[in-house]
Amino acid sequence: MKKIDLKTFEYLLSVHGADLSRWPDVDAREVLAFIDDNADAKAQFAQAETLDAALAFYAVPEMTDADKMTAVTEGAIAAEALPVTPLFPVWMKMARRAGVGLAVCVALMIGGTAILKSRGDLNPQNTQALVVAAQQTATTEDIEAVLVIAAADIREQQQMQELLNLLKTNPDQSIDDAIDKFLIDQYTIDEQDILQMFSEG
Amino acid sequence: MRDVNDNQSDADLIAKIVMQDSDAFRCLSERYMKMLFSAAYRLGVDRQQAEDIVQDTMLKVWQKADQWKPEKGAAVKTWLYRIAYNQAVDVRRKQKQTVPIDDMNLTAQDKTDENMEDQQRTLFVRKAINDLPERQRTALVLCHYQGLSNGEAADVMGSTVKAIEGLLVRARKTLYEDLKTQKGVL
Repeated sequence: MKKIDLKTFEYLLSVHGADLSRWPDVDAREVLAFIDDNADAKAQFAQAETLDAALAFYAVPEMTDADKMTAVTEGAIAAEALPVTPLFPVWMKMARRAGVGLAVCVALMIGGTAILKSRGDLNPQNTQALVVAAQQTATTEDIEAVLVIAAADIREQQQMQELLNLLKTNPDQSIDDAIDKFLIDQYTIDEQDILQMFSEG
Repeated sequence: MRDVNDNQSDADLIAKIVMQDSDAFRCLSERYMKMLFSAAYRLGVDRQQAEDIVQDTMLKVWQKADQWKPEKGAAVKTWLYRIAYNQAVDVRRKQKQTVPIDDMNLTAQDKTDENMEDQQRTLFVRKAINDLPERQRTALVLCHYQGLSNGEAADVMGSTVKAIEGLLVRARKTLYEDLKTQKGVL
């Protein structure tokens, strides 16, 4: 334990402030007794308490839901893990994998890519994100999370959000129909455009 | 069955993350995200930037978990803080140290006199801390707000305990002088 004198007291106070639990290697009761007996120490301690009280006003805003943030980070990790390959071969690779959700995934990929392409926004990040979403047979929440990271452009995120909302609000509609409707209504893209994209791939 | 639980040490989780264990990654993320967020935010970036820093930090943990060596003496916690701190410094340099105030706008429901005063105080304190030199601000945030020991802060900042103490003394002195001029804060 440190022996408290004015010099030690002033140094510890100037480093750690008035919260004695932060003071290393001292007996808090001894410090308080020292303050009681010393007018200078009392004044300095009061000043430090005032500063600490003001610093306590600096609150931190609420963070986005931690689960969502973790999901987003995991989405980014998945995206990083993928080799950078042209979109079309990846689609072809996936098409060879028969499995539950494949149609949904491919539809989402086609739909999503078509939307982005329709606005001239197709870029490797977007397509990677869609590939990740598809490969993981992700839920719409997962896809949203991935897209938040992948689509740097707010407008792209909004476009994807519109599609996802449409899918969510029409549970009875097949995803293929929803995407067709969405593309035709919103961006006047038809099936021929999508087929054209495939051939360009 | 999940092979990871909340009682596992940080070092154990890192060892699992090196083996690409996503459960361990999730557990470590849950343990530290809020802490990193509040540190990043108080280092002088806005809320969105602070969240980005947290995510980038955790991403780096996933990518570079094998680079954390317990024998070097650094705790996982200080390693995480160091990554976040370096990123916050980068962000602030890019934004030319403008003071982010987006999260401080008063909302309609907060506009009682008492809340207005509190928010005004918060603004003054935030600005005063943001105006501190970078290393003083970091030492204050790590030690005063995050509760790190001076030794841990020294690890994070690549400094010595004595230097951290010097930074804290100067930071507190500057803040007192600055806030004293703001009516109703001190």
